[in-house]
Amino acid sequence: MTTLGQPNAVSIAFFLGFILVTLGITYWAAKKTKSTSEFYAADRSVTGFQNGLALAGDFMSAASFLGIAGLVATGGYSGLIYSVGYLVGWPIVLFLVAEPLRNLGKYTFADVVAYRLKQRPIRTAAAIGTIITVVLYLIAQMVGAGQLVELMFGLSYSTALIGVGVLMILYVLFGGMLATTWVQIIKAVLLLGGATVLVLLVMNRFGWSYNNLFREVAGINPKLLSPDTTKVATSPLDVFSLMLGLMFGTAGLPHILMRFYTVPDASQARKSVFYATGFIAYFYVLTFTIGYGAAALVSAKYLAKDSFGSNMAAPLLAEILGGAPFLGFLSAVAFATILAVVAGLTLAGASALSHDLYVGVFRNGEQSEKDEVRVARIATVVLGVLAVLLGLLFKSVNVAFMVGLAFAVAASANFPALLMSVFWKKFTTGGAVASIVTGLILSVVLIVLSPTVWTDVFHLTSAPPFPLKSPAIFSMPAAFLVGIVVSLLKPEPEAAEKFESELLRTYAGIGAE
Amino acid sequence: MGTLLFFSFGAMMSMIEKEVVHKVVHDPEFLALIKKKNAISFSLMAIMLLVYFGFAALLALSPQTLAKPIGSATLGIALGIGVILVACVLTGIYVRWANTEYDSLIQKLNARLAEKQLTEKQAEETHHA
Repeated sequence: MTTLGQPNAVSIAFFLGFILVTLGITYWAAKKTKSTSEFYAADRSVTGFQNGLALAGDFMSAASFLGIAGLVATGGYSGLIYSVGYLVGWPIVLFLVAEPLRNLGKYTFADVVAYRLKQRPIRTAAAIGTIITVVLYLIAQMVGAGQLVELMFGLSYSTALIGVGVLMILYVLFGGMLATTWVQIIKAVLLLGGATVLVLLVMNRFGWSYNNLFREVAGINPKLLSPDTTKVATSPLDVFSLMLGLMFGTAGLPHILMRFYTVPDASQARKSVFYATGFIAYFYVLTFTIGYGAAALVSAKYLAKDSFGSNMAAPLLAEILGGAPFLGFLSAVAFATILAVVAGLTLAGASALSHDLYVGVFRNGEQSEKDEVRVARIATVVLGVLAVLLGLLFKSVNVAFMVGLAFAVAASANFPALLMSVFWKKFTTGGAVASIVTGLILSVVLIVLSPTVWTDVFHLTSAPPFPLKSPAIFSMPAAFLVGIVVSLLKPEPEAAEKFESELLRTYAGIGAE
Repeated sequence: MGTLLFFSFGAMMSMIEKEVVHKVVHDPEFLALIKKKNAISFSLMAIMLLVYFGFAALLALSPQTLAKPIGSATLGIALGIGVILVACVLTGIYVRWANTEYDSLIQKLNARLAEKQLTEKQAEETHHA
């Protein structure tokens, strides 16, 4: 028996407590959120440690908490593949993009790509790349939110979506980046704390020994401990493609990249990646333990798709080990997690709409700060409403698939252009636009032609034209190649000339905002 | 007339600025520092790629190797956790180096360049006088 789906006093109390505290923070942050630098970047006042927690908060979505724990519980090893792939993106972010972003840009990653190149074409292309990545990720989070809240609290799907939408708009609209950062920090602490308690309860049950836990899992289903890629990939090449996309996707996620503008300088930016990597690694070890704990302790009939589905493995385990109050606490934490991630995504999308598209393209870079913040606030409301509508529209879409698509687009459309603009002197405006467009179109088209959409979504009986589930192994190199060829065919001497001052700023931080 | 004057003044300023930038960027110490930094970050990245895609290769081509038992777990589980740990350690090594050694070298370089610029400016002023 489970009380899942029946809200209890503990879950409601925690949930209301979280809302009160975060709205209080938003009220406090609103007073400090007037200029563009305050709205988009918390006036660069966040410390490396705080930003590390907030980055971890942005990254540890409910999809990865509940999704990976569930994947481990039912699919065993494939959950670990995702954990490893998501985590190794962080060293890449540190070694290649964190410092140039902080030193060259102002509020968005398009600032960096456009540093030496022509503003309008670059900002248009980069804003489209940003918006598409953000919207795909947003749909995944909103659909996940609706389904979770429905399951956990017994609220209807649409009520849940509207609730998430309203709260998230309040945070971003009034509190900007400062409120969003603190919502992320609180959520990260709650999630890490809740998951730690759950793991302690699991380990207590198994005599504080992973050996006992694994033995129990092997007794139930020995396959859970051996690697099996058939669930996530169609061929060895597809395994590489999946893992390539996971690794480089992180370095192209706009809401993650944007966080580097909230710290005062490059040293703090580096520090924040170090803390984020540590927190996220710890979190994945926890989810992995929770997943196997659920495999050992939660009755298989609850994990089956027709019951609660594998996403509920962690909450069900929490109830078995900690009773209804702990289930209530964890449900509230899961909801807080969704809210925080959705707020971060909306802020990133709103920045692209106002800073890149409206000011950079339509107003040619000339707009008063006050007006820019006003436009960013309008964009926040528009994106918030859009997120709720898309969540209602795509109710039945597979959440993991949407997240995978967002990562593929980020790795193919955003990351190659960003990297080449920082490291390659001969990179041109034409090359950047061609690279972004190629990565974007190729990753989306290949996914539509892949078994993931062709067979699983469209239910077509013919063989899918593209045999792999993950497109990154083709779309990412193609974006690089097209960017290089177009740049070499038509050089842009003005851009190459500015490379020297860019070097000075990238490496020494001279002239950084 | 006024706009023309203003325009040429702006162009002159940016020319001076360009010269300073050019000087710094071709400063042998700055170049050596960039080189060292890239060498460190690219080699750490190479290690990460090797470890990660090595793991991917085993996973894709020889899953039976990863299924070998280690205690009551499997080699695959141990290696997966190992890759996560390697990522943390490499991040730590880089941040430690960059936030101590690199940052202080950059600071020294900035101070030296500022001093040099000042003396050059003074020399120019005495020359004009």
